[in-house]
Amino acid sequence: MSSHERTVLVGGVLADGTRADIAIDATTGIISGVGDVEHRPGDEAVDCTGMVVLASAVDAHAHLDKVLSARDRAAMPATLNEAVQDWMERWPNITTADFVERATEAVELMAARGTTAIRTHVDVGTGVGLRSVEALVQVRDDVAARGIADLQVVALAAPPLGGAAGAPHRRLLESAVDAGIDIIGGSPDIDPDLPGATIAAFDVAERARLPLDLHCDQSTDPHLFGLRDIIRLTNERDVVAVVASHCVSLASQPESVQHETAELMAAAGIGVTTMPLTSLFYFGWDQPVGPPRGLTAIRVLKEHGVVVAAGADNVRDVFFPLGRFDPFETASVLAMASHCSPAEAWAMCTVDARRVMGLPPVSVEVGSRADLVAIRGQNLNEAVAAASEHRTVLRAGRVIARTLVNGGIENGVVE
Amino acid sequence: MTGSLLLRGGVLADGTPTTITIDTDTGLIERVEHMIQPGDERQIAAFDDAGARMPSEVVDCSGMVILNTAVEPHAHLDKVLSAAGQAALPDTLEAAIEEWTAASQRISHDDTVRRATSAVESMVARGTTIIRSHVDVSRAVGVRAVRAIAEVRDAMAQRGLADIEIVALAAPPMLDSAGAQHRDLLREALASGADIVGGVPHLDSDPIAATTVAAMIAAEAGVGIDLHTDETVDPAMMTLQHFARLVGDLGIRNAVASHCISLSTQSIDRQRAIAADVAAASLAVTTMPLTSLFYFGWDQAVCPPRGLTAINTLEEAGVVVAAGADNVRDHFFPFGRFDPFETAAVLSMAAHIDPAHAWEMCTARGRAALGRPAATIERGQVADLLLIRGRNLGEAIAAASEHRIVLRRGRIIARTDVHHTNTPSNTPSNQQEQTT
Repeated sequence: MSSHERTVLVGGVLADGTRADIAIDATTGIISGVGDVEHRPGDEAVDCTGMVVLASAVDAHAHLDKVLSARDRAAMPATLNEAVQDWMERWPNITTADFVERATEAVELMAARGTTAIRTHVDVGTGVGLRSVEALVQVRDDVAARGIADLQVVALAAPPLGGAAGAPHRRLLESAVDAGIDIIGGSPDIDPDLPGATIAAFDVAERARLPLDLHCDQSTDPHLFGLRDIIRLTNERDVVAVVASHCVSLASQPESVQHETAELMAAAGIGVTTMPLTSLFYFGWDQPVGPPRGLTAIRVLKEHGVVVAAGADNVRDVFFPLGRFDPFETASVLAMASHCSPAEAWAMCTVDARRVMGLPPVSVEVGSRADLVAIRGQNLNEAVAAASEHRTVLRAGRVIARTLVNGGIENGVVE
Repeated sequence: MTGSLLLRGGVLADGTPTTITIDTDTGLIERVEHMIQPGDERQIAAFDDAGARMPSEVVDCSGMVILNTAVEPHAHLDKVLSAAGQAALPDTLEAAIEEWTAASQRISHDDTVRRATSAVESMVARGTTIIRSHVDVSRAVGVRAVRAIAEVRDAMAQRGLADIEIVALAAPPMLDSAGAQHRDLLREALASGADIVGGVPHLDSDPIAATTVAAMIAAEAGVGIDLHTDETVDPAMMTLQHFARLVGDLGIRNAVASHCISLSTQSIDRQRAIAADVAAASLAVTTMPLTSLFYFGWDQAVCPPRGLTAINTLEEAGVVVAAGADNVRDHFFPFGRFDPFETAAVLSMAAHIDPAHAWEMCTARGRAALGRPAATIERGQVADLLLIRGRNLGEAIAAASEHRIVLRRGRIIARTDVHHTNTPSNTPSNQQEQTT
């Protein structure tokens, strides 16, 4: 494949600003040296001067079937329900080719900005059948073959999933398993039968021997609290791994309930994903006095040892008009919205996201797979703050994207 | 010699293909041509008088949106970049102030000039050409910081890059005998290059009285006022209404209340009553979404509030609300890209505001809040323009590409190229976000 023996990233610094070259075995894609790397003939040098070299990012919660569906008109839905209705009405007119095209473009943009593993939720419902799931399974296999990203496809069963009314969607979810999806998903929080929908999702996950990732409690209303059902079923059932996404209403529970719940989640090994951009946008903003932020209780969850990962969620689609496809955007908005350090927020987009997704760890250390992002900056803090587009991205030791940013103030401007 | 600049291939905010001719001698927009359809009437009309003269320079704006430049209504150029790389993470505003006050005494004039210059250059390169900066005036620094930023202001005007105005941010205490020195320093700052009276009355022993003192000094000096106002989610702190009445009573023009956090924790009826007074006094409000999220309300365990002001209520009452970035990579705040599109995007998320409206709060409403004339993309207008990669304003805000060209008074003052390549084996299908 490669004519050279090693790829060496030259002139960059590590997260803390320490100078380090990084050698990567071109055959295995594994890091073989960090620090003072002795240069050899046959090395391919990649200039990383002025750049910080980090482990590449992971997006723990995307919607690649919806992504870029509203690029020409910024959608401004007031409520999640409004967006869901708008989206479901569009289903019949979306072709497989359109699903593939938008998802592929999004993965390429994400990869170019340093995200090399993505968990995407993909709708399964009577209105769309398995069309979107089949498209995303195809995109997953295609981008894997091209070597640019690892995708996990979650079959997001549309409501209703519980009770008698949920039978068609339960059958579709079973068919999605046969179509090659990786993870079982659903939205019990918007299901007419919340407990029934949660049980149905656990049933399918248990039978299919697949992990589960459920949209959970997307409301600041403390009365919506399906997380308790998820905890109970995780303990009772034999499901490979369970992730509760969003968990917005946890932040509206009394403090003691937050702590009790977090403790139970840690014991049950449930992972959590938080999506700061869309949470701010959707949940709590319409409360006129002291509007709550709409994020989950991140601090309490982490205090009890729950792994919390961050994701970008919807990007430039019918649900959300913004998003740069940039893990550094997720990290900086997360840090602003939850008052944490740039390093802590970045960890939630990398190390913690890998744990939640069940991926092997990646680090800038000898022996790790070289899934790396080099970005302009003198250390991690500056990289997260400035989020320069000037980046080089590697996956399994191979450079998959380079973005060069040049210019600035014109010289000699005098009035 | 007459010169002209032709911006060709770009689109306006709504995506309409448009060619713009600029007279580089006057810095004014000379002609705006919309290219809607081949054979379009306006295109033919333009064709008739085309060739009147050849442009001196043609700028290819393909794939870019043409906008008016942005306004930063609330910066702290004396503090900016003071914690570059350190990522300060103060839990409270008071903790940050304490740390900064200690640090600022050791900061030289040259260091302040260097950091502020670097920040302004970054802001200009991203499309901001009007900046209002608050600058500390206190026992600790005297008027030293004001003098340094005044030097930067003059240099930037000289280089034709940006229009900077200075608010003398008088430290507490401002009251009684303990405040005499700060009152004197505030007057000295106005004589040393500051344009506007500022302060933080909510940190004084009597916030209402401190507001009055600041307003009296502004009225007496005949200058504008821009006060840090009610920076807390505690509803018991409420000086905004008093400030509004003072502005009206004293007839102060060019008045801004910055932050106004506790307005959002008042009852809705009280919010509306206060907003009506603010509107009646033509008192503008600035909101800084990034630092507000970071500082105010996050530590409340149950339903932590957002810490922004009550934007909707203020706008419904007719108040001009503009948005700014506030602190950037300093002792107060570890983030910030010096990018008005960052302010707009975070504002849109944090206040559930249409991105285009959020952008207006970073541009037209910023100008209005600062008492500046409106800017549009029309014949006869000053060519202060920002070109950014995108198919329309919505995509420009969402993507916030660094690929930009900035013009001030008809002259290109900054240009940033973003060149993207994937490795040959995986050529992306998308050409929109690339250049060749």
